[in-house]
Amino acid sequence: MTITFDHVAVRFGDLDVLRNVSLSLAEGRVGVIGNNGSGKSTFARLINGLVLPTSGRVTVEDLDTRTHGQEIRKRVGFVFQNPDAQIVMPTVAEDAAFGPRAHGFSGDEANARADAALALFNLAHLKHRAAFTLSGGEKQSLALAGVLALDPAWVVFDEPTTMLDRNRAKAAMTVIAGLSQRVIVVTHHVELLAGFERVIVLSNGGVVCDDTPERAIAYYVETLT
Amino acid sequence: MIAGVYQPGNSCFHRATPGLKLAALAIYAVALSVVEQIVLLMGLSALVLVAWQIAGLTWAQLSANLKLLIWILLALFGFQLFVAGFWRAFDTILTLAALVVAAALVSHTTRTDDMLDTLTAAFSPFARFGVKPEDAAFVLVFTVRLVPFVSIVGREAIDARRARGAGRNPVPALVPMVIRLMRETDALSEALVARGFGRT
Repeated sequence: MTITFDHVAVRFGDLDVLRNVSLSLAEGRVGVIGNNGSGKSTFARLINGLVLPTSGRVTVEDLDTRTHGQEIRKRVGFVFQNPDAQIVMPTVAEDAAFGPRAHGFSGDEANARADAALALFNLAHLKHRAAFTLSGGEKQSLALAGVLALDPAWVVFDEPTTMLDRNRAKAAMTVIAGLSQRVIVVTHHVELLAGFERVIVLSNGGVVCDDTPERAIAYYVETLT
Repeated sequence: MIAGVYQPGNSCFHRATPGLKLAALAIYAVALSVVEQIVLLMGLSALVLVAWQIAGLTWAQLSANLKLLIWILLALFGFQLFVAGFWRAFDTILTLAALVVAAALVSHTTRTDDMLDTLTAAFSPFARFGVKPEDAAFVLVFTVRLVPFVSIVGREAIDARRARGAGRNPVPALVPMVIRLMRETDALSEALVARGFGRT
């Protein structure tokens, strides 16, 4: 159950977004921190093939993101910063069932998975509501329910608390802490990473520190902020 | 109130198969376009309102659907009034409004899953020509999700201008609206891929 970056570089036009990143991720809770423009969102998107490396390769359980994107996305869920961007179907129930359907589950199986995921977040009573009418916190929960309906082995969160107020951010982190899946959280809110096993610090497209949360966060605070 | 979203119910429209409803919609559209007498056209338009009532849908839902079209209807009415006279203008907007209400009736009474299954089956003969039936069906159904999305983005663009002292004229808001829509559709397409849509 390992995600491996092997000499990965990503270049957008003339811009080097990531440079020669090599590492393996196998821990249950991994944080990725860095300033804006450090490459952390691209790092997250490489994991389930939303971005492909310009050179090098990314593998998830030995599957290459270049050739097994669909298979990998079944194993690695991705939760976006803005839940509005992640909700793709008109109603709550339909949206939660979207992932399972897209991955080939039958209608009944997809609906059963969606119902179970919605129940996890107390959204079952809203299943026929138009997804657009949910509150911000409910949308965030729906986005996560839609990902968990596929029961992925990993869940990647891209800045999960940036658009939330303090209380909602705390609630979101409680939910993340309670997940049985392996979790990778990309953030610049270092206080969210308490209890994590490993934290990677990115700067200018490279890994500048890869250590325990205490040491990595201390490095980040002293050197980069 | 969001236009086009499935509203649970147990009316004959809810129970009818999506294929039957789409066929009826197609026949209704042809009837609207071939009828020339204004009285008959008004009768046909009234028919969809009766169906709306039978389906147990509310007038607020009807109004939400028509609100999305109001500027287009007004623009069309003005143009037709100028080039073809009052009755032609009235005929045009009545036909369009009745058709939109009929289409909304179908989407309000049909689960997306059922519609996807029906459309996927309808597109399957084209698979031999390289068409992916599931993808084609999804693109059609996904359009329903984009209608309120575009409406919200448009309203926010107009509100942003008004907050800075501009009037209610929607035309200058078009550029920021289109730019934001392009950004948002980029994010949406990324989310679709992340959630399993596509084959790569």
